[in-house]
Amino acid sequence: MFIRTEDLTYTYFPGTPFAVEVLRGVNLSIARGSFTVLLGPSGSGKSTLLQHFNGLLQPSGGRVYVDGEPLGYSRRELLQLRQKVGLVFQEPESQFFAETLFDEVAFAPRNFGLSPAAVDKRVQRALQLVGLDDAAFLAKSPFRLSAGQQRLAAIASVLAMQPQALILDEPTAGLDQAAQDRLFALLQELNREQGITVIVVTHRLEQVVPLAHHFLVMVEGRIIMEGSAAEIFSRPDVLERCGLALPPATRLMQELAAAGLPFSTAIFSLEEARAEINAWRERRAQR
Amino acid sequence: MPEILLEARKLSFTYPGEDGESPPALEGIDLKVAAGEYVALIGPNGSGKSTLLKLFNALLLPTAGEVFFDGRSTADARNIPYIRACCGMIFQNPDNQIVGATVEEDVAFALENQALPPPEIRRRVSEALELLGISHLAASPPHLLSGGEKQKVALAGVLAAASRCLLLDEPTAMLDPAGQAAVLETLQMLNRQRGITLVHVTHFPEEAALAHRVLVLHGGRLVKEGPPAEVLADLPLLRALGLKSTAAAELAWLLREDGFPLPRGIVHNRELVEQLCSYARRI
Ligand SMILES: Nc1ncnc2c1ncn2[C@@H]1O[C@H](COP(=O)(O)OP(=O)(O)OP(=O)(O)O)[C@@H](O)[C@H]1O
Ligand SMILES: Nc1ncnc2c1ncn2[C@@H]1O[C@H](COP(=O)(O)OP(=O)(O)O)[C@@H](O)[C@H]1O
Ligand SMILES: [Mg+2]
Ligand SMILES: [Mg+2]
Repeated sequence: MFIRTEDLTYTYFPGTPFAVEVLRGVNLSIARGSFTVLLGPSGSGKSTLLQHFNGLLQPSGGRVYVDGEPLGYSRRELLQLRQKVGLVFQEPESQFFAETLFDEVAFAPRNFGLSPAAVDKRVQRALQLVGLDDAAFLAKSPFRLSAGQQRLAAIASVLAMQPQALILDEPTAGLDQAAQDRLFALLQELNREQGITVIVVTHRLEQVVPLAHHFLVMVEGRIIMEGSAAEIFSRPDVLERCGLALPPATRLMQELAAAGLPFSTAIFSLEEARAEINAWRERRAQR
Repeated sequence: MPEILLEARKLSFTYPGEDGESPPALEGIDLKVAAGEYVALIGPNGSGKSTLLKLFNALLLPTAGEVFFDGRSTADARNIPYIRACCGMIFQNPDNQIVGATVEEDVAFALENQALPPPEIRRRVSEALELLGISHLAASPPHLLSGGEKQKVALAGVLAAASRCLLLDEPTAMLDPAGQAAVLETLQMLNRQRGITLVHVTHFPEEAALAHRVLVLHGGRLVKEGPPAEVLADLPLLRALGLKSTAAAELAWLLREDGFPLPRGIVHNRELVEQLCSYARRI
């Protein structure tokens, strides 16, 4: 197991009248090299949970293990942890601090003591991977990028660390379609070719269903369900309870079926829908 | 001739300190938005959508050309208080737009600059909360609300300020599907029942399909505009720009490629349902 939690609890503002218990006993295991999707309604504690995986938050109770070791929270231990586990925040601008995009992405590689030439190469590569490799951007302040460009910059700066686990908190928010497609293709490649452990929070199931091995569903600070895509989709009641939308192709097929057309609703992609409708058309043509 | 509320004439904009480095953020934009219209603004990352919204409510001023709100140029500083009062802005991140300690206070804050008597403020605040269905949250601290509720609080503020126009910059990007649905429903209600003009920037094709008109920006230029049935059915254009259409439009396109006799202009699920049902009756 690469990441594991044991009875993890977390309370914001403990001991004050504002105390809120956000994680209420989370037990989970994430295998090395797996692709995990964390689902759940807004406010269920997903972002709070992820921030425990790279030591940004320290448990109120219970434990977090990474790579078999219980996490320690000294400066040195945290530095080591963050080389292994890279987290892309839900709000990308909250992780920027450098004057230029180049310095932002170069921060971690420089910290690892790489030579300037090697740093340069890593930065170029990371920006290229996310599609932000227009030279005009390099000297620009990350705060002066468009919203989508800022998210890509945040992803690039974590990629430049070359972590063993890559955690992304709602990474597609604000990205255009091409950037989303590029991101998921990249995550798939990192996961399959390089064995990088990937953990993604998203509300858009259609994009992750073909990639993910493992789904976790969080509601009110607990993992209420986990399993493969098939296991999760077989429980529309659970999906509905946590406010998850079915993939657009599934919803479309449901509307067609409701109108009396003989279509399966166990369809998750447009290509599957296309095949289903074409098969129906051929059957009718043969009658 | 409908009343024109927003207008851009030969508008170009370059961010200060960026000249020579990169192309202008906007170039040669000519555009009119009628009072009561619902316009969606789509385009790839960095195409200039947010910049255009900021020019509309005078957060930015044109480098060349002009922007008018209700016939008043944003270049004349005397018009700016009027424009800002009439034209509310809602951003992606609900957390960044909350100022009050309670929902009620937060909504009232939007009225602060209007020098209204306190009873009038209270009346407007409670009316706005009621219209958005969040009266029960009046005394709650906003930071404890869900993202969708926070966006409704922000919308209530704009509504209480009696804005005629809402500029929305990806208002649902940070929301879960339930929050997204709640905000979209509210926007349609504000447009239909209150006649509020909406300019809605989005990366969700299903959201653009709700508008009366869709504008497509690319590289700072307006490259296409028209009703959703025209723009969102133009898959070659959308694909060339790295964009996507609605599931119904994408599927109709694929089926037509396979020789299925379907008309152009299918954008909504119900249109595809109608077409397939009518095919089933005929054949
Ligand atoms: N404050 C700024 N200073 C300098 N350049 C900027 C600034 N804000 C945006 N830009 C640049 O202007 C161009 C248009 O940006 P804008 O934010 O309008 O794009 P957008 O269409 O809203 O993109 P997104 O979908 O990513 O939000 C981009 O190339 C961006 O890098
Ligand atoms: N920094 C914070 N301080 C106080 N409360 C917080 C903070 N971050 C999140 N919360 C609260 O914790 C709960 C869970 O939030 P979060 O982990 O962001 O959920 P999710 O990512 O699933 O939307 C929410 O009620 C939220 O208001
Ligand atoms: Mg979150
Ligand atoms: Mg933008």
